[in-house]
Amino acid sequence: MVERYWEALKGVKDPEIPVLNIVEMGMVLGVEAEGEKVRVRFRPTFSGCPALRLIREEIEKALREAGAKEVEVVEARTPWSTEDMAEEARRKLLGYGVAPPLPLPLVGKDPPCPRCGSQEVVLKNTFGATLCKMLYQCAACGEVFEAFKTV
Amino acid sequence: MLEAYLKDALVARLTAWADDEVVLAQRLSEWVGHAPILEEDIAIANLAQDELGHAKVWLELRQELDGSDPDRLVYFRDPLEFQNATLVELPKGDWAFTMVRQYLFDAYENLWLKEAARSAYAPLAEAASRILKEERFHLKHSSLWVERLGQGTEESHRRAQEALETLFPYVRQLFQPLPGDEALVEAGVVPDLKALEAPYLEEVTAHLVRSGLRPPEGGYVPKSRQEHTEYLWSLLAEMQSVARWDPEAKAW
Repeated sequence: MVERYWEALKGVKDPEIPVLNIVEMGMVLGVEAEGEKVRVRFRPTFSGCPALRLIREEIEKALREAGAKEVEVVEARTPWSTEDMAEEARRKLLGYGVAPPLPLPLVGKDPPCPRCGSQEVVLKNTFGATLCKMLYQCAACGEVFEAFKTV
Repeated sequence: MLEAYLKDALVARLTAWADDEVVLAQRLSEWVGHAPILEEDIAIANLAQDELGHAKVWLELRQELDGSDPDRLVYFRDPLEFQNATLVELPKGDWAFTMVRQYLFDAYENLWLKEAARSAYAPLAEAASRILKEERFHLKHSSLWVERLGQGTEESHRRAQEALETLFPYVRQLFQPLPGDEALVEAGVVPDLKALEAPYLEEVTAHLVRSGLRPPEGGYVPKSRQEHTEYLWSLLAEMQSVARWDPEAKAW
């Protein structure tokens, strides 16, 4: 039964990066089922994430569709790290044109250009269109791209 | 678990931290749509959003201790009950004023959060390490701006120096302990802010000097977080207006 709920949660996308689901993002910490009651522990990626409310609603909806009658969504304080992202999520990000987060510990490197792979990139802005991304430009091919912040 | 005798002191401490974040977030958001370039408009909206997120984290920690509702605290408390430092309530000024303030505040946050991440109170340690990850980006951004303004044109340098003259004394208030802090520090729950003041001044002065700026000496330092300028009233009047106008609203 719990497996079924996990599967259902894979249908919940990160509203700001719609190619990723919350399970491969490493946001779901645990799912417990007791009869028809399901309890999900999840953690936000960034604490000021405006999508949190929407994600909670989507979680509830997905689990009800999977047969749960009662859903409890608990927000955990456990810090999230980009290390918790599945390999698959990194590949999807790259395919989506967003440079995936770098491995930790960081050694002050910039991510390669997701378009041409060049290391010659320039940081344009430590902040981007969403809290989790920053803005770069590739010096080789000229592409302006977003990079997922490594945290 | 937190010893019962520390509860009230920690509630006060968390409120002070949260109020700094809420008021600063409001000041930052005043730039949205008005920043000098589009990328900075985006950045400053991000900063405001982060600070608000951090306030939420502190107030939820408080909620676990005393059951208070974070939304009520932010939107229905009167100015005299706010515990923010004067630094964050001063009007946004020009871009140099905003960025110099942000740098002074970010450097302070990065310093004490690092210590708080080792708190004996596990929920606080977790919250601090979560917030620290985000604050690193703030400091990177604002310290670069200070450098750029300080070493930029004569005009940018003049404005940055002027901002610093006004702001610097107020920074010292951030390190003043609240009445209950001593017991919290002794129990290893919160960092000893007084002890962080010297390393802070050293770090910040070095960066300012590198940027061609000169931290002023002296100036008025508010004695406690009960002290506010008239600017807090108008800030809160605007920030709280929608919530007070329709307190029953369930969604915005």
